[in-house]
Parts: sequence; C-alpha cells; structure tokens
Amino acid sequence: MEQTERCFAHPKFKRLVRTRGRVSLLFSVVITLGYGLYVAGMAFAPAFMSRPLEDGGSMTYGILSAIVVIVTGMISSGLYIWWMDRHFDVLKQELLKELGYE
Amino acid sequence: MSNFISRTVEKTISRILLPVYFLLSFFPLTVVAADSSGPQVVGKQPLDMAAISMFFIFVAATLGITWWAARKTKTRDDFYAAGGGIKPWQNGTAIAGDFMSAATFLGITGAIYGFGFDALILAVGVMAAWPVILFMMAEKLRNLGSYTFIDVVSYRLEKKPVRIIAAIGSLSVIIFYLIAQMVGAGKLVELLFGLNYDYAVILVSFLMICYVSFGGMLATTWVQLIKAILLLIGGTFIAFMVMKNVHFSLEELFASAARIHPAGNAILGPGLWLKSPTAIISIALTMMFGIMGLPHILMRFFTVKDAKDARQSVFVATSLMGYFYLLIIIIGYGAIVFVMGNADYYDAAGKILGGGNMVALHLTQYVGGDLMLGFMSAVAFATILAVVAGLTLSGAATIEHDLYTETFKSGPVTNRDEIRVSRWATFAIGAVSVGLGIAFENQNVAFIASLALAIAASVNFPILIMSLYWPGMTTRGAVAGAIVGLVLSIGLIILGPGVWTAVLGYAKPVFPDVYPTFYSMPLAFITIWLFSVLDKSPRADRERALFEAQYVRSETGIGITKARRH
Repeated sequence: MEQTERCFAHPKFKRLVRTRGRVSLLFSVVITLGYGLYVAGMAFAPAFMSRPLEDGGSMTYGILSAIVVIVTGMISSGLYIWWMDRHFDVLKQELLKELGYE
Repeated sequence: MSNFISRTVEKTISRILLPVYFLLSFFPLTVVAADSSGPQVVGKQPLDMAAISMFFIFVAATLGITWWAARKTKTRDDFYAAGGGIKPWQNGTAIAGDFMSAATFLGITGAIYGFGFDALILAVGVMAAWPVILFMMAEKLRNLGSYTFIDVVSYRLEKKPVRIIAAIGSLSVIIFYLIAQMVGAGKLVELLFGLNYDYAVILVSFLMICYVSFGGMLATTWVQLIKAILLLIGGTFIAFMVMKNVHFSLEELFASAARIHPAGNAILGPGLWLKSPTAIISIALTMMFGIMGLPHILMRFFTVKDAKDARQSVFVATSLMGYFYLLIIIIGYGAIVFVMGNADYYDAAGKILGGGNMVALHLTQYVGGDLMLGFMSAVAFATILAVVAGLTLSGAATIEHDLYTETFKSGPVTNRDEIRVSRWATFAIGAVSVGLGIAFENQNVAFIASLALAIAASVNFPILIMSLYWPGMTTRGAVAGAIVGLVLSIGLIILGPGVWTAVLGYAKPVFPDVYPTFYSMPLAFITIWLFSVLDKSPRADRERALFEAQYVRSETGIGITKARRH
C-alpha cells in the first residue's frame, strides 16, 4: 500500500500517466471520429455515401470510407504500439528502477 | 470417498476415453483415404469426400493438440490462462480467429450478397472497436485481472454482489452466443456432410467439451490459431481469384456486382438493410461496444506474460482482422458477381442452395473447385468449434472462478477442487448448449446473436470501462447499472421485431428496432453514475479511496503478486 502511495506521488509517474493518457485519448478520438463519421454518413447523408468518386465510376464514397476506417484501425494500432514501446516502456522502466523494483 | 471416485473418473476419462476419441477419429479417416486412393467414379460426391476427409484431418489434429496440451495443463493457471505462456503473435492470431468466425466468413459475405453496402458495418464496427480496446483497455486489464474481466470490475468493489451480477451478464452473453453458434454449426454440418442436425449439435458439443476440459486455454488457443491461419490462407486465395477474374480492378468488381444484383447501384450505398437512423446508430453502438464486453475475448488478455505482450497481441489481432475484412469486402461483392444468377447454385424453385449463409462456399467452389470447397467447408466447421471452445472456457472460468471460488465457497479451495469444478462447469455448459441448440433449431438465430452483443454492450462494457476510469464508481452504482442494462437489453429485444413479431407472432413490435443498445447502453451508464454519486455509505468512501492503488497497478503493474504474474 505504502509502495503504491510512493509511486502515485512520484513525478515520473505523473508524467507517465499524463502523456500516456493523452496519447490513448488522441488515438481513440481519431478512430472513434472516423467510425462516427462513417456511421453519421450512413444515417444522415446516404446520398453522399452512394455517390461514386468519379462520374460513371462504381467505387462510392461509402465503400471508400469503410475501407478507410478499416485501414485507419490497422495503422493507428501500429503507431500506438510503436510509441508505447519507444516511450512509455522506457519511462516506466526508469520509474520502476527509481522505486526500487527489479 | 467421493473425492476418490471423481479422481478415478477423471483419470479414466483422460486415460481411456482420449485414445478412444483418437481411434474414432482416425478410423473413418483411413477409410476415406482408402476410398479416395481409388479412381473416383462416383463423380457426384467428390465434394463430400474432400470435405469429409479434411474435416477428419482437422479433428484428428486438434485432438492431438488437446492431448499435448492436457499433459501441460496442471494448475488452474494453466487451465484458464495457459500459464501466461502464450506468445503475443499466437494470442493475437487467436483473438483474430475469434472474430474471423463462421459469422464473419459466411454471415457477412451472405449479408453483403443480400444487402450490399449496409452489411459492411458488421466489419467496420469490429475494426473500430479493436483499436480502442488496445488504447484504453488491454494493458490495464492484464495488469489488474487474473482470469476473467470480472476480476477487474470487482477489484476495489465488494466482491460478492459485483461478481454475481457481472457473472449473470457474462453468462447470458456466453449462452446466447453459444446458441447462435450451435444452431449455425448444426445447420452447416447437416448441409455439408448430410449428418442429422441433432447429431451434428451433439458432435460439436462433444468435441468442444473435449478441447476445453482436457486442454484448457492452451488447446483452445492453438485450435483457434491454426484455424485462423487456414482461414486467412483460404480467404486470400478466394479474394485473389475473384480479383483475377475482374482484372484486379475494384471498379470493375463493384460495377459488375451492381449490374447483376437486382437492386443495382443501390448495393454500393446505404439503405437496403438498415432503414432508419436509429437502427443504424443502434447497430453501430452494438458492434463497437458489444465487442468490448465479450467475456471470451477479454479473457485472452490474461494468457500472455505481461501488459506489453497484451498490447502486442492486440496489434497482431487488429492487423490480421483488418486484412481479413478487406478480403471479405472483395469476397462479398465477388459472390454477387459469380454466384448470383449462376444456375449451378440455385434449386428448381430459384432459391439459393443452402440459404444465404452458403454463398461464400458457393463462391469458393466457383473459383477453387471441389477440393477448395472441401477445404473451406472444413475450415468453416473448425471455426465454429474453435469459437464455441473459447466461449465454453470463459463460461467455465466465470462459474468456477467468479462464482464458486470467489463468491460462494467459504474457506480455502484446493487446486484440485478448482479444476474439478471447472471441468464439471464445462460439461454443464456443453449439455445446456446441446439442449438449447436443439430447441432453437428452427428459430431465427440472428436475434439471439444480437442479444449477446447487446447485453455485452449494455452490461459488461459499462461496468468494465467505468471501473477502469471513474474513481467515483461504487458497488451500488455498478450493480444498479448492470441490472438496468440487463433488464433493458433483454426486455427491449423481447418487445422488438426479433421476438415480439418473429417468434411470438404479434403483428406489430412494441419496440421498433432490432438492437436496443441505443437506449440500454446510455441508460446503464447514467444509472451507474447516479447510484454512485448518491451512495454516501462508508463502504462507498472506502471504494473510492482504493482507486489510487488500482490506478497505479493498472498503469505500471506494481502490486501484481508473483503468483498472479503466472
């Protein structure tokens, strides 16, 4: 319990959770916004979603947006992992060391 | 004495019955092999031969894995979490496998075939949910829990009421999901292999009990992993052949589909399936947040070494799923181009053979011939087996760990007791799913599956996310919110078109939409908030004060005891 309090008060812990919280939130907002736009398009702008990218074409904005959300999900997960491995884990290791773990 | 008997029974089962399963599964295999070595004069049945032999190869291989896993599964930790020894890529592939289910491969393809664009939301919703699980939940879950997500919810709350209500939510999801899978499996096996529906359901349940009760999480993960790889290979091949046939042009694929489909260009935009904005938003919420509350998925985060591995495995899973869903878009529209209107796949009355769920397999046959069809049929069946095994394992974990050991059993529980109870729970779930699978044979299973996801989104997800992020949540708030979510989601589905009109036969549904999530999920959140802020008891103060320690542990892993580290 005492350990936890020490950790909670540690400035590195504060920095750790603040940056991580921001990054998590930013990524979540990006993907939720993308999905939200796609759903809103279906619900409120079906005519736009049915419109082809170019006249006479068959690829519509709707299908494109579905593909974009799927690909965004893949890319954002990759970026997040990359950031966490590079920054969060390093900071966390420093914190644990200073608190006397491993 | 009774202990002795149960131990003897257990030994007997694992020593004698397991080899018997082997014999049973190898025996027809050799017969099939002998048959197919001769010239194929029958001609009419090559599909069945290919499918059946692949099916037996798969069953034999998975039972081999189970036998191997059973020897390594000794403690409860091994049983539920594979001793924490699953590698991130393995876990990630298994998670992806849970989603590349028969519902995805057969169901979404069938839905695109019928409705075009609207069906894509079933894939896009999953791909929106997974990254958020990664960003907000995966590592915290790993740091806080040991076997089930209920560990996390009850971390700083009063164990008994929270575990009971969360277990009810969890088990409802599992049972409804199992029914949907069982009925699907029964129909598929009936259609592919000509086996009687009841026997098919019993067979599926038998294999599933076998994987789970002997091999635990290790076997369940490996079965899912192998199946996922096979399905990815098969899906890649089919999508490649489709693209080859349309000269690798998406434009040409969509244009041909719109030319052939009776709805024409409407299949390239919204409106054919989901008619109202509420219906669209409800299904969007159900897909995204229901997935975040599926117990058998959340359980997989406990099978890896630490939070870092949990994170890596979600990345692997998201990448594989995303890739597979892109294939499914091609396969779905490809099915319209090559199956729709193709006389080979319609009966005399003009109905598609085997119903809408079979179009993916018809397309497989079209592009890959009978051998490929046999392969994909066996994989489709394997998919159902792997998913029901995962579901059953998480159900057994909830019954044994959350209810028996942590709630109702007073006094110490030995490792042997735990394993024994979880095996019995596995048998019980297997028996219940056979019973319900047979009872629901001719019901519309779509609403059952929607019920599972709606409950997950309205009960499990709200209490889980609030327990992770809101220091103010108290036991009272969590229990009240879960009850409201549960009652509303089940109640509105019963009053909705899925049950009120389709099953009970009334002319007009009381509640207009299939999915209740648009109302039930926000109300669950509001209830949690309201009951928590109104809770002035000393217990509530204690619970709020405990958040700090939970927060530290969820972020850093500090406080995980050696035993819990696996």
